[in-house]
Formats: sequence, C-alpha cells, structure tokens
Amino acid sequence: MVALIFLPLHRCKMMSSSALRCLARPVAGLLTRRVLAPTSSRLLSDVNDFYKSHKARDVIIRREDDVAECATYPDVDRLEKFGQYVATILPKYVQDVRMTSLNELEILIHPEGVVPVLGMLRDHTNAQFKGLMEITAVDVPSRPYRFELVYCLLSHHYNSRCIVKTYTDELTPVDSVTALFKSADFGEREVWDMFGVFFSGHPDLRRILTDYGFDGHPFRKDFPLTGYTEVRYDNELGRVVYEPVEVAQEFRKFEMDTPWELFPNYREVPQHLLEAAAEKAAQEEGADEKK
Amino acid sequence: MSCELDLLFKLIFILLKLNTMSRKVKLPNPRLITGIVGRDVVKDPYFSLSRLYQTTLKELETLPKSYPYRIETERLTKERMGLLEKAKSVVEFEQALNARCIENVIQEAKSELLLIRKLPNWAPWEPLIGEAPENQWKWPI
Repeated sequence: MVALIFLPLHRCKMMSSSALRCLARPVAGLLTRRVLAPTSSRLLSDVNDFYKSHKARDVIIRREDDVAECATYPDVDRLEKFGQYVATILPKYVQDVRMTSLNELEILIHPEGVVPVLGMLRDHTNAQFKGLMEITAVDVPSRPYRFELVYCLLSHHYNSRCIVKTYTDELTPVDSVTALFKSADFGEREVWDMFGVFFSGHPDLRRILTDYGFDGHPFRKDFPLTGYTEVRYDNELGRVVYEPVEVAQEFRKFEMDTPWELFPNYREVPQHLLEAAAEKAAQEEGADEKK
Repeated sequence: MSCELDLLFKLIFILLKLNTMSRKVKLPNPRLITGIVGRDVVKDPYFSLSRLYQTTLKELETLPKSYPYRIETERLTKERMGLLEKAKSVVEFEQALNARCIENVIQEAKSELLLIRKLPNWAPWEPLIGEAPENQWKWPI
C-alpha cells in the first residue's frame, strides 16, 4: 500500500541485447509522454494564447451527459486537456504535466505548491478531486532530492483520477495537507514512518506502522535488510528486550543484477556509439555503390 | 437588562421569520430529502445560488484580468446563472446541469467561493518559482 511504483511490466519484453540490435533500432519514447510543449515557458501571455485555442468545455475532465464516453474510461484525450488546463491555471507551481504509459494523468509540481495545487484540484468546479486516496513516496538515492512524493486523487464527480508528484530530501519539510484532506493525516504519518519525510503543520506526526522504539525508516534504500534492532523474550528479566542485531554470519553480498536487459524499449544509446554506427553504415553504403 | 436583551432578540427573530415568510420563493424545492448523508435540503435554492454566484463574480474581480482561472470561472458562473434564471423548476435546472440534486450545485458554488478567497495569498498566476533539478522526473533512471 505504501510503496507504489509505476512500472508497466507487460511492456518490458525480455530481449537478448546484442550490440548490433542496440544500434540498429531507434531509441523508443519514454515511459511517460509529456502533455505540455517542452518550450512553453508557461507565463501568463503564453497561457492565454493556449487557453484561447481550446474550447471552453474541453477543460472539464469528463462530461456526465456523454454516455458514450463512459465506455472509453479513462477518457485520455479529455484527461490530457485537463492536465494542460491545470498547468495554465497554476503556472507558478506546475513544472510539468504528463500521461503515464497506463494513461494516468501526472501533475509534477514544485514542493512549495503542494497546498495550493491540491486545494485548487479539490475546490475548483471543473476538477472536484474531493478524495485523497493515498500518499506515498519513492526513494531514489542518486537524485539530489531523493524522495518523490506521490498524492493520488479521486474525483467522484467526474469519475476520474490524477496523480500529483513532488520531491523533497531528508531535511526539507513539506507542507502538510491535513487541512484539506482528513485522510492525509494517516497518509503523511505512513510516509514519515517509512521514508522519514517531515511534514510541517501536521497535527500529530508520529510513527504509525512500526513498533515502539523502532530505529530507522524501513523503505529507504539504505535501510539494512536485517534492520538495526531485534527483539527476543528474556527469561531472567521476564520481558521482551530490544537488542542490536547480531547476525551469526557476515552478511554476504550477492550479485543481484539480472543478466537480462530489463528496459530494452527505454534504452539510451551513448552519442558516440550512435555516431560510430552512422559512420559505419555510410561506409557500407559507399562500398555497395562501388560494387 | 438581560430580560430586555431577550425581548430584543425575540423581536429580531420574529421580524426575520416574517421576512422569510413574506419573501416569494421563486423556485420551491420539491424534495423532502437529498438522499445524500449530511446534505440537507435547501428550501430556497434560487435565493442561495443566485447570491452565491453574485458574490463569486464580485470576488473574482480581485484576481488579475488575464488569469485563465478567472476567465473560466466567470464563464462557468455566468452560464449557470443564466440557466438558473431561465429554469422554470428546480428539476429543470438540475437536468440542464446534469446534477443529482441542486444541493450539490450549491455545495460546488460554496467551495469555489472559498477557493477564490484563498487565491490572492497563493498568487498562482505568477511565473514558475523553480524548475526541478535535472533528471528529477526521469524514469527509469
């Protein structure tokens, strides 16, 4: 429930990774598709031009009277337009809007904009995302802001869902949204417990899933598999005692990497290899013409 | 002293009641219940809605003129106001909006109004406060 990773596994076909194939095939698109134009600066003037080019009714996620559209749930086209609309009404906070490969709307925002963006999505008549289904995080230690915060919203009114994403690190607090959604209380406590992300303004931020006296945040990638403390019943003391973990054998570092390439569709070929391949192809063509 | 105050309050109460009794209800609500937990029937929905919409339009003027949210919300509110003026009954208005009950529409208008009051503090029409670090949104890594 807490860890949620968007990986379309059915898309990742196993393929032998010969160097020739790697170079011959064009690099496929990303797992996600950008909804905003990459050059858009999202300033007010541009935003207005964009807004005028769309029909007014298009920004509503799904019209209730369109019965035919219920058959094509989720309505990707309309969801995409709604994403663009959100970017135009919140240009201060929305960094990017994209659709995942499973056609979910993702709104990527600056961490300072959590409350305004979620507030707008909750109260605006065209959105009405009245339910916060869950809050979770993804830990990627190699990034400067290692935690990606994920807010999953549901609009009963338009039968629609969207995901708001932002980022933070171990020390930067994020504004709590408990004032907007009551369910955020437990959600934020879970994220605090599992990842150690601090939410400022939360009424009662304490651990929720782990035991009293627990050490560390288990969903961090640097949390050891064995944990830091272990529990046993002590006969002499007549109670349960906590002790630092003692492993009988030294933890063995296995080679966990799979020999198979996991994301052949999202492979990034280094530029120099591409150039070399292009040169080679040109030479071969020249040789063919000579023959 | 307290007795006089009590009398005064009673008088005000009676006057208010007379006022609501004498007011002509334009679109009487045919419902006894809304069928939704916690949502009470509004007896004079025309009065509440039209007043809410007027306040919304008035408060929207505090936002910048070219702000798309203001344009869209003004359009939406005026459209609904027009439907409300045209409607001959509550049911007709609900059908025009495809709403389950008029109390839901009132609730929407209320939350929109509360949102507009929060917006000047947030000022979301300003340019982006900061880009994400490089590769922050890249996946798979």
